[in-house]
Amino acid sequence: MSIDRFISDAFSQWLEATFDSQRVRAIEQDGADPADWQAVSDSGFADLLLAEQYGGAGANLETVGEVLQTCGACALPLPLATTMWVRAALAAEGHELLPASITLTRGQRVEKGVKCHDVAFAATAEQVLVLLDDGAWLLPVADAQGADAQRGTGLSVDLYWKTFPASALKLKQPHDWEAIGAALFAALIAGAASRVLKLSLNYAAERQQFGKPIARFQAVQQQLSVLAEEVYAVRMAAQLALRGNGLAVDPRLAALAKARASQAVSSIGAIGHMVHGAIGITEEYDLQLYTRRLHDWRLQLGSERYWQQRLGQALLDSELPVLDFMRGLTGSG
Amino acid sequence: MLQALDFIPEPLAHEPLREQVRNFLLDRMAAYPTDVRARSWQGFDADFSRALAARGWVGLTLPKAYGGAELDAFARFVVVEELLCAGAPVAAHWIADRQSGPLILRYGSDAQKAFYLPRICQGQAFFCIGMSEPGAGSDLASVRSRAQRAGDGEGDGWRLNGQKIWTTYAQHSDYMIALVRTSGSPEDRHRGLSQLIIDLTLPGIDIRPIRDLTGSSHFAEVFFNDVHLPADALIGAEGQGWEQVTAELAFERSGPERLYSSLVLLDAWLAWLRERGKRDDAVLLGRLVAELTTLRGLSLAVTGRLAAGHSPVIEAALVKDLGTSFEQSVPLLIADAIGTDGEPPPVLLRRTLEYLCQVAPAFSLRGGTREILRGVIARGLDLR
Ligand SMILES: Cc1cc2nc3c(=O)[nH]c(=O)nc-3n(C[C@H](O)[C@H](O)[C@H](O)COP(=O)(O)OP(=O)(O)OC[C@H]3O[C@@H](n4cnc5c(N)ncnc54)[C@H](O)[C@@H]3O)c2cc1C
Repeated sequence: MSIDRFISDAFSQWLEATFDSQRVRAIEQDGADPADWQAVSDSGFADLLLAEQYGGAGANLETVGEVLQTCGACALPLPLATTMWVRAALAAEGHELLPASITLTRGQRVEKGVKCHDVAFAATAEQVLVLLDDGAWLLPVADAQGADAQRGTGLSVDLYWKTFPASALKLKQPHDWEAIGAALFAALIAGAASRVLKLSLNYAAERQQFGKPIARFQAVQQQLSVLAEEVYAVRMAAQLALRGNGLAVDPRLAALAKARASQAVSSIGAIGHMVHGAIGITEEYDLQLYTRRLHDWRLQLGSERYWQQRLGQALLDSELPVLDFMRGLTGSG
Repeated sequence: MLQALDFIPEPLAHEPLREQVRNFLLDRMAAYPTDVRARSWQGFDADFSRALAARGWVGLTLPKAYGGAELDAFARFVVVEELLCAGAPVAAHWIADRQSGPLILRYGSDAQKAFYLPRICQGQAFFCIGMSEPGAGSDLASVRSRAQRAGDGEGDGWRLNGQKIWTTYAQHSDYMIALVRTSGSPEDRHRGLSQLIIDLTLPGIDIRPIRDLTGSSHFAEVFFNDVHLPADALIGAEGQGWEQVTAELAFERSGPERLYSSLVLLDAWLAWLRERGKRDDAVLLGRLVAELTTLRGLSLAVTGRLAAGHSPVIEAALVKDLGTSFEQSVPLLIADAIGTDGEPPPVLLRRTLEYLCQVAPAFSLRGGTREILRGVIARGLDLR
């Protein structure tokens, strides 16, 4: 299975033209305009994963993974990744598809309602797939009280439904949505990380100190090399999890991808900012669009330790030596 | 420029080869205790290498005409991976298989190919790498060993003087491929360097093993005192040594051996945890296996570029630096886990751990240091 470059290139051209960094900032500050999601709907990219029999593109996960990395690399503030998956699942269950944007989170039932903590894209999503003990439920964001008052400078929002919405829809197919979500966030991290590398390389070549570009200083070069290594590792980890056809993601590979991607965030953020000096701390400069998201996505659905624990337990339970466990994960082709 | 490394699965076609190597190793390795297997590609056993060669697993990528198996880079990946994960003592043939053979194939004359390559494939010619000198470590172009034409004619051969150091298993090898100066002076840097194949039994060569911090002697100093070499000791073109040595380093760095130096320890620790049903260290296990599986994916991608006929010098440097950082972290992290375990580890596990904690700093020295590799990556990023 390989990446369909025709699709992934078309997507990145479309995305860069439609959501530049000024638009991203505006959405972050004032919320999304209905026209924003409309543009995504009209583009057809939300139906990349939807099977062809339902009118979608039926793209493989390699291609979708590449598209998600582009979303991360453009800091797209809309939940395109999760929407693709949930639409494909809804269609397979025979539901009518509405053009809503859908995010995904874990939640807890409290008394008569539902509480969700740190929901990514909650500020722009119309619906949330909430993973509860009794399954995955699609809830309308409009019915929830956003705990915006407690919101700091993060990008995610707490949501609280006082009473369980009557319109809530339960997905019947037993997908491992937590694993799917983990793989998606790993791909988003890979994309944002690659943008941090790109910005840092450009800046290092431009910025002059002591009469030469800072890229000429060995200390800076060595750090940029480490940054490149981490970016390559995260991209590979995300690719390992997103392979094949259909919606399913191997939970062990999802754990691997999210563990490796989240682990890389700290050094990627640190080196990106080191290279930029003070300008990188400003609102005006784009670096923050990516590093703030990296820190948010690192924690989404669990940070590295959570997923390392899951993967480590799978290794222990497998009774296999490490090489065989790894080969079982990656397979041969 | 640094190229993207996308995931490629290992080819199904090599599955039978993997099985064969695995069965062979099950048999041969049964008697080797963990702390000996931990030596990985530092373990020298000529009989073992010859037994591998007898099965056609040395010189895997060399043409059949020279006794090789003419298989692709993925086949070598599979065999190397099995050997390293089993902790097989592969040092005797390792360098010939990994770099000297491919170097001779690329730059050697027909006569040199016909002479050396079949011997390499049969496990009858073990090679060592003569690059480093006392004054030339990272700054390899500053080598001072010098070969001069012994007479006026092309056919008169060479007279070699100088010294190499840190030469892995020079004391047990048949040949060294050395980078030496054949014209000019050290100030000429990359110009005037050539590669010579040196028969280590010749008079005037003195090899003195060096003991390492664990007490074992895997590397050596090699002195050349008016050594007379035949004219055909020169490999490739005179004065092209720098280009050739760069190509050789690409062979050296692009294999999967930069991930697995601590794998025997990781497996031994894992087995001890399982034995006792201990689950507290799942987080660390998960971290290590997430890192290693990712690295393996990157290494397969580099192998794919090799198999497609590229010379992935920069990508290999990236994977090597990431890989050696991983290999080095494994013993240190496991040491902390074992030191917190509450139960003393079995003696073999403890010895394996001690050994690896002591030698791990070498992982990011041999084959080019971390700082030098990061410089290679930086060049690939257009920073220098
Ligand atoms: C186990 C082992 C086996 C080996 N086997 C062989 C062999 O078979 N054949 C062979 O030829 N050699 C061999 N070597 C030698 C190895 O290639 C050298 O150790 C290595 O190239 C570094 O050289 P050096 O040790 O002289 O360190 P130096 O070059 O003196 O470096 C010392 C420190 O300074 C740093 N440094 C040097 N230059 C720079 C720079 N420009 N910028 C930033 N930092 C710098 C280095 O990164 C290092 O940290 C072996 C080494 C080991 C440890």
